[in-house]
Formats: sequence, structure tokens, C-alpha cells
Amino acid sequence: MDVPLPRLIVFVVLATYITLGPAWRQLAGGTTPFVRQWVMYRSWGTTGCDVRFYQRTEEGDVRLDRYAVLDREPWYAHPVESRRLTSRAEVLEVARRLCDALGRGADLRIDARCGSDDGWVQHATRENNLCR
Amino acid sequence: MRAADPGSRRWPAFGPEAPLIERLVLAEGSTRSAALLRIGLTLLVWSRFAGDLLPVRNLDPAWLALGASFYLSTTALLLGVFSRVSAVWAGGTLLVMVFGVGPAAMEPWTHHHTTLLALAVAMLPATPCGGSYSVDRWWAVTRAARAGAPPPAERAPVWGLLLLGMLTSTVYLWSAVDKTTWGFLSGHRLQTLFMHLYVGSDYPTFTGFAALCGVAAVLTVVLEYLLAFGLWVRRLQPALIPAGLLLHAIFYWALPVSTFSLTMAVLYLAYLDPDAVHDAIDRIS
Repeated sequence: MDVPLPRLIVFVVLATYITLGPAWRQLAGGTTPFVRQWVMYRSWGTTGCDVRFYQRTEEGDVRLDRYAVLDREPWYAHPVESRRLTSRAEVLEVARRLCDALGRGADLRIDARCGSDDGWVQHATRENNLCR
Repeated sequence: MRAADPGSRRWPAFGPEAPLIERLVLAEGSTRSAALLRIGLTLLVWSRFAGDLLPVRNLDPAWLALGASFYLSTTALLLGVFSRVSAVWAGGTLLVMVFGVGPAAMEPWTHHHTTLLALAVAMLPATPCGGSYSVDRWWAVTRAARAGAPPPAERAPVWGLLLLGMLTSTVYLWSAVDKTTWGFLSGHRLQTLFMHLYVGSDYPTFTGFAALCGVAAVLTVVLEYLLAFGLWVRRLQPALIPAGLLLHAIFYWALPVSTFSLTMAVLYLAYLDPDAVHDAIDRIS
């Protein structure tokens, strides 16, 4: 059989680079930037948090729409960047404004969890009244 | 024009009796698939990179030189002028951009969709990408006419298409491997992704959001594993190609994936029998 050697060499080298390169990066912990790992959108959103605000009443906890309480514009009228709460300080600032809007004696609680590579990580489960 | 099929070298393999190495590197087929890949990939390269390399962005001499190399090589590649040389030049320029300039000064060039484009173009010299729909082809036909000979066949070794198919399958496989974790399969990572892009920190109130993300996550991973291997199986292509295209259409619509979806769609040509593509074009021409 007459297989052109240069073609064979190029094929084997490129096929090896294409197919085994990502394995070396993703399984063996290789770090060179010249071999690509195919990891898409792994970190997107993992810094974001799911924060739900509740007003505790005698009838139970009522989930609040913070946009309805704080202003009259619906949530989608605000840029998505401003809708993301990514730190404790940002959450407490929203809680402070909600407490002000709800008035004296309000009991505000939050469920909060944040993203990670392994999924949600719970941070708060309505333990404390944030208006105190 | 496609020459008479020599039989023993038909894509993707002539029968199981042929040695594997022969099937891989000696197979011949129509050059039209490679030509369509050349044109499609080059247009996607322009769509993604051309704006970044405009002189108005940067007047640094090195940047202008990079831009000149990019525009000249990709123009020649699109037109099919000395196609293989143009492909080497364009591919080399893109590899320098993605692996050299990117990490140093242009982080967006290091993303997966830009790397995929660069690698795909860099593989084009291994294909007969100038054998059809090109200035090269025009010249070849003109030379033959002057000599009183019939036009040369649009036929050449197509082992480079295998490399492009491997590249596409590898993207699916390792992307699926990365997602094969509880964090993704539970739907949690899709929830965070959706919230990051659309709603911020306010968990959607509509019923079934968590279940929908869980089902979508599992379906995505299963489909990616199926596409990685199944696109090589001729009998599965009628089902898997539409499924894959639908998946990429959803990505394109719902996520800021830039040229990724369209690049993958164009690369599906690498899985198809080039002679079947040729005949299909003839049927509709």
C-alpha cells in the first residue's frame, strides 16, 4: 500500500493534538495555553446569588417583589447587571431599603444561596430579622 | 464535475476489508464540501475578527501588520486564490492571534468560539479546499479548455475532512465530560446561568423552572455525547444533524455564543460523504 509518509505524519500529529489535547488539559491538569480545553460557560453565573426576600407576618412568610416594594418599575425594566446581588453588602443594602419601605416593626427575612461549580451553596435560611 | 468514482477509495471507507490507515488518509471524494467549509469558515472569521483589526482601533505598527496579514490572507482564502497557501497563511495568522496576541492583549480572542474558528481554519490546508468554487478552480478549468481537455474532476484526497470532524467531535465530547457533574446535571448550573443572563438574583417565580433546567441539563449532556460519536455513523446522521442544529439554534438564540453555533453548523459538512454533498448540489443546480 502506498501511503504518502508526510501526509500520514501530519494526520497522526494533528489527530493526536485534536483528540488528546483536551484530555491532557481537562483530566491530567495540563496548563499550556497552546492546547485547548473545551469548557463552555463553566464559570458564568457562578458568582451570582439567588436572594429571596420575605416579610414575616402572622399569617406566615410572604415573598416580596423587591422592585414592586422599592419602585414602580417592573424587574425587567432594570439592566440585568443591576439585578445581580453578588455580595453580602449588596444584599444588606437592599434589605435596608426594603425595611425603610415596609415601615417600623417590619420583619424581613431572606433565603440566600450562591452558585458554585458544584451547584447552589446555601448561605441564609430566614434565620434573622434584617430590619432589627 | 465529479470524475467517475474509482471505487476503491470512496469516502469514508470503502469497505471494512481496507486497512484502517488507507481508509483514513487515502480516501478521495468531491472537493465541494471542503470548498463550502472554506467559504463558510472564512465568512465567520470575518464576522468575528475583522472589526477588531480595523486600523481605526489601533495604529500600532505591529497591530497594522497583523491586520494586513489577516485581511490579505482571508480575502485570498475566501476567493480561493492559491487556496492551500492562503489557508496556511490565514490559519497561521489566526493561531498567532488566538494563542499569541490573545493571552497577551486581547482576552476575548482566547474564548472557545474564537479558538475553534482558528483551529478549523488552520486545518483547512489539509483539505482540498480550493478544488471547487474558487479562483483556483477557474484557472484549472481555463487551462483545460485551452488545452482542449475536459475540465479536471472536482476530486481529491479528503483526509482533512476527518480532522475537522474530529475537532467537532472533540468539542462535543470534552464539553460533555466537563458537564458530567452533579452541579450541572442537577440543573443548578443552568439555573445560575439563566439567572445571570436574564433575571439577576430574583429566582423565577414560574412553576417548573427547576425541573425545566434539570431536564435541559440532562438532555444537553446526553445529546453532546451522542453527537460526539453518532455524527460519524451515516445511519444516525438524519436524526442527529437536525438535533444538533436545533441545539445550536437554541444556544444561538438564548446565549451570547457569538460565532460558535454557526461554526459548529458549518463543520457538520465534515461528517457528510463529500460525494453525496456533490450530488445533492448537482440535483438542485
